[in-house]
Amino acid sequence: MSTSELIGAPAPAPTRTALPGTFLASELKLVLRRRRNLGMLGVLVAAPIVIGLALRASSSSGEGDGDAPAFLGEVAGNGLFLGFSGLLLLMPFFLPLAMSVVSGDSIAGEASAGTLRYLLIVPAGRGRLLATKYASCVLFGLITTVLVVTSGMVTGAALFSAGDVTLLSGTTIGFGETLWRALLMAGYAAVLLGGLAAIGVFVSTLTEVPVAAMATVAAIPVLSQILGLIPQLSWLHPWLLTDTWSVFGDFLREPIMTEAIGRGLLTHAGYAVIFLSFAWARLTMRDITS
Amino acid sequence: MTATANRLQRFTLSKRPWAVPAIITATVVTAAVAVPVFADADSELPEKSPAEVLASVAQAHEVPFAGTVVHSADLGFPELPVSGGDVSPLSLLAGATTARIWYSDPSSFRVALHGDLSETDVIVNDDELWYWNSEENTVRHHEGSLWPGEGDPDESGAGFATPGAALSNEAMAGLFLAWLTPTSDVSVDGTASVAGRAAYELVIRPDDERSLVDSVRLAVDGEHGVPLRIQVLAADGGDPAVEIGFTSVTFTEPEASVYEFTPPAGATVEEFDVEQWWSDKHAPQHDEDPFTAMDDIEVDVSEDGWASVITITGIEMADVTGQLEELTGGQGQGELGDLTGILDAFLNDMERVEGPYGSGVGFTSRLFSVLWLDDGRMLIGAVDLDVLEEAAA
Repeated sequence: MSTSELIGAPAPAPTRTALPGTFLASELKLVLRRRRNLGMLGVLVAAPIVIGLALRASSSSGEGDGDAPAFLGEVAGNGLFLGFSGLLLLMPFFLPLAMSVVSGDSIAGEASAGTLRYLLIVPAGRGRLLATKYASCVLFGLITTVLVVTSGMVTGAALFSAGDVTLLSGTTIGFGETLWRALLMAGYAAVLLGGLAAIGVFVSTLTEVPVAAMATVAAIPVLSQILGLIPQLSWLHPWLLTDTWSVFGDFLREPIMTEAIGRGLLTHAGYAVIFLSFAWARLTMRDITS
Repeated sequence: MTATANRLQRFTLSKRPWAVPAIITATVVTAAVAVPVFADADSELPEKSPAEVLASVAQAHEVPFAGTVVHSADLGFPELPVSGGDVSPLSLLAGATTARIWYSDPSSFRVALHGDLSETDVIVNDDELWYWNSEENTVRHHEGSLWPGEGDPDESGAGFATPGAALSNEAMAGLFLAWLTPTSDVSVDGTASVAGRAAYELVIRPDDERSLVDSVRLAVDGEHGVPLRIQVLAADGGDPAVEIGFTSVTFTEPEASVYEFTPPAGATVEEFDVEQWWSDKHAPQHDEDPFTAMDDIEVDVSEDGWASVITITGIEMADVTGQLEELTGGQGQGELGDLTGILDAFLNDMERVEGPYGSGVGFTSRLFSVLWLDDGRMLIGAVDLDVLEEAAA
């Protein structure tokens, strides 16, 4: 390891040891600069704002919210809750959809644009290309979840009162603790999306048509959720990707209930390792012609 | 050494890349399957007799613990339209429920029943009792002695509050065994592993072959005597019909902060007197009782061990549906959820039966049967329907 790497200077480094971060940074910039991805990010960030406005309108018109889920009712009492609610509402479909688009595009997009072979001409190695692509997907997921929670909390605080938050256990927590839990939830959601991203990157190595990869990846959480509803398959349920996608409530208990969350982290790490290794094998084997 | 490693690497990387994901998948799957199995591996415990195991249970109220309990029931009921939220008591009849328990001693413990995005807590801290329901945003608070007066020791585990007052643990265990043995076979079936703890498994098996209960299995922690799991197995085999057990447990004193409760701002707080409630519950209150039309109900139990039949006379079907509708304001939605819907679900699942005893409807689940006759008699027992029909004749 050279000294320039240790101090992290951008360096007149020899070509073979380009800084580990620069490749990733440029990749992430590419993902974030793509108009399609920015559009999705905008829609996701706007969702909590729309929910907040709708709740505001219904609560000021004095209608009972008898049919609304209880956690949405909490928002009227404390705006900060909207950060949690936004994540809960977007996790079953819209967040994984955005991740499917980004991860499904990762390799297949380069292949269809004819840029994959140029990427592989630089002596970066296919494994490193894959790692960078995956890391940029995961970072995109983290940025999305953090932004969704932030937009929810800011909207909630602006439209409703923002004081202490009452947890499901009836305990009241202050602003700092609320922020910490929101960050934990966003991080957990990002890990869930990271598991899906590994599948997405793998599917993306299989085809040169990005749309096909995106559609396939988007179907996977839906399929997993359907399987999760079939009681005869209960033996399979703990292994399903989406089995631990709805445990966000456990972050809102005092003390935090870690069992299902820990299981979720482990399953998603398992999914990520398995599918990344398959993606690596596929990319190594493949003749890159475009 | 390095040459071999190099060759190995070249082999896997260039010629057989698919071997890498195959090995990784196999490793991950094996680890995921094997680790829980290893954690649950039987550990050796010195042999104990049923009486010794029961005596250790009688002592268990002195042991502080914290853990997660999962309850699951598979009684073979029809699909119940349980709508009163995930934390309705009726949700215990089918499916699975999770609860967390913290316990220091009989006067400081907390039970939290988890719903998907809701929680019901009961917190007892010295002479304070808090009840919290997150869905209704209500708090009930009681201050003062918890268990009903000393003159009423049979109710609600008052023996719990005065442990070992009269009898030693061994004597209590002996009495319990003496009560069980005429009808059942009690044994210790080696050791089981529950929540990673080695436990004695006490098996109570009915002698009576007509019983729908195959056995009741109680797993008792080998070190502390705390009951870790209870399973009721049905005679038809298969998964336990009812199972309540720890999925994780630690035997350390819980932090005092878990017993602290301050009603959150905006919640409805209701002062609540347990003693008053107990006496209300037990005093006859004919003018307020919604079931006034059922005054003539009589309950009779045939003494027949596990095959005992409970006979309730004076329940007319029309009365019950009428009462339920009145009780729930014609909407079928009570505090417990969709009551009339549940009754309908049961009635749909019942078969018409006829015999020398008259006619009515019969219902069999994995653990018990119900025979409801048109003359207003209802027979319930942990036996097959034909035993009930015999009893009815």
